[in-house]
Amino acid sequence: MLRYAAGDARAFEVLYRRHELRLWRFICRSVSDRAVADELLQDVWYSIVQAAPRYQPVARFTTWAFTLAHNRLIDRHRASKSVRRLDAAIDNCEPSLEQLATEASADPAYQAESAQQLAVLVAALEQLPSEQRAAFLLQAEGDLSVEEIALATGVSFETAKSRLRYARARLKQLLQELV
Amino acid sequence: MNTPPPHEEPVDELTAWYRRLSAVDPSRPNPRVREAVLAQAKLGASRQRGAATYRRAGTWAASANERSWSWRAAAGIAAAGLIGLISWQELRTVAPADTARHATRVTDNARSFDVPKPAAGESERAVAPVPESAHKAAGPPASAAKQPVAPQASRILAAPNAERNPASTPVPASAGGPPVPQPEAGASHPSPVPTAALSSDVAKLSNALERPAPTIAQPMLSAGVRTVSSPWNDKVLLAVRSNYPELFAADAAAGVTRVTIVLNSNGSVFKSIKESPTDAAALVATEQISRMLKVNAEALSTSGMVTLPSQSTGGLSTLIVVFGVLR
Repeated sequence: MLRYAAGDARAFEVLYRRHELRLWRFICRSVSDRAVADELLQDVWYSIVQAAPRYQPVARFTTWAFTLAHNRLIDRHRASKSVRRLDAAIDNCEPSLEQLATEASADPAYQAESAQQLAVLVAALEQLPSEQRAAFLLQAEGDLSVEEIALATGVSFETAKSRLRYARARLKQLLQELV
Repeated sequence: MNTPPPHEEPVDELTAWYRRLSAVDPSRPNPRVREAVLAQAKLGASRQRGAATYRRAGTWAASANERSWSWRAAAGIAAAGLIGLISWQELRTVAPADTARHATRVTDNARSFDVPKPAAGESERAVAPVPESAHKAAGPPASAAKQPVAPQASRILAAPNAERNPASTPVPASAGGPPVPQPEAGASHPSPVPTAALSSDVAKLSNALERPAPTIAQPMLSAGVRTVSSPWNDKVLLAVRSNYPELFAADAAAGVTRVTIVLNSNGSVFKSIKESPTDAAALVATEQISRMLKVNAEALSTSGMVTLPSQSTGGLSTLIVVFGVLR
C-alpha cells in the first residue's frame, strides 16, 4: 500500500489480487446479493484508492480493508433497511453446479457435496444476527483476531469476543437443524 | 505491510470447515469490478506520482522564496516596463520624422497624370496647397456629377470589408480627429480617373519608390481598420490601383503597405504616398493625412480607411488605404 501511495500502480494490482476474493466473499455473504456485493466491493476499493495518499500503516492492511468493507455494509444496511432475501442468498452468492463443473481439477462428486454444504452454511449464516455474522465472517474470511474484529466493528474487545462466541454457538445449532 | 496478527488464535473446527468450503467455492466477483478498480488505481497512481514530483521540487520552491530572487524579478519587470515606455514614446514620435524622410516620395498626382480637364477653378485647386475657400467655391462639373460610379470598378476593386459593410461609417470624433462631414448617400460624384491613361506613368513613379514591406501581424492591423465611406469606395480604390498598380500585381512583395491618399472632390488624385508601416498603432485617418501629406483635416470633406486583404491585392498581404477627399 505504501508503494502504491508513492505511485506504483503494479503494487496496487498485487494488493488487489491478494484481497479481492476474501473481501468479496465477506461482503457477498453479508448482503446475500451478488450484484450488491460487486457494487460494494468496488466502493471499498475506490475508498482504498482515494485514501492511499493518507494511508498510515498503523494496522494490517487486511484489518483496514475489512473495516472499510464492514462500514460500507453498515451504511448500506442503514440506507436500505435491509430486507433479507434468503432465496436470493442461494441464487446469488452460492456457486451453481455449472460453476462447480468448471473446476477441472476437482472431483465432481466432491464439488457437488461441497456446494451443498456451502449452501447450508450460507443459509445458517443468513440467520445469524448481523453483528454476530460480521464477527464470524471477519474472523473466517479476513483472518482477523478478536482485537482486530473489535477495532473493525468499533466495539470493545470483550464485546467482539462475546459476539464471536455466540456466533459460533448459534451457527453450530443452525447447521444441526439444517443438515 | 501484511504482518502476522498480534496473537494467533487457534482456528476452531467451524471456521476451518468454513474455510475449506470457501476454498472450493468457484464464485468470483464480476471481472468488470476489477477492471474499474484497477483503472481507477492507475489514475490515482499517476496523480500520486505527480504529487511526489511536486514534493521533490521543494528545493525549487525554496529558491523561489528567496528574497534576492524576488528583487531580481522586480528589477527585471521594471526594466522591461521602462524599455516599453521608451519604445512607445519613440513610436509616437517617429511618424513625423518619417514624413520628412519620405517627403520625396509624395507624388503630386494631379500634376503627373493626365487627368481629364476639369473646370478652370478645379485645375488650380488640384495643384495648389489646398486653399480651403477655393475648394468650397468650386463644385464638381455638372456633367460629371450626373455620372454614376463606374460599375466595373466596383467589381474589380470592391474591398471585402466594404462589401460586408457598405454603409457609410464616419471616423469617430473620439478617435482624435475633428468631426468630418460625410457625403450624403444620394450625392453624385464625378467620374473616376481613367486607369489606362494613368497606369504607365504611375508605374514609373511607383517602381522608384517601392521597397520591401515589413511583416505586421494581422491582429495588429485590425486595430487601425475603419470602414470607408461607401460612396467613395470605388473612387478611392480605383485611384490607388491607378497610382500603384504594382501593389496589385501577382508578384507584389508580401507584407503590409499603407497608402495615404487625398482626392479632389471630382475624384482625381490630389496627393498620395505609399509607405510600409513600421508600427501597427491604431490610426486616425485625418491625422495620418495631415502627417504624411500635410493636408489639414479642415480641408477634407470626408476621410476614412479601408483595408484590402491579400486576395484582393495579389501578392500583398494587406493593403491599407487611408484616404481623404477635399472639400
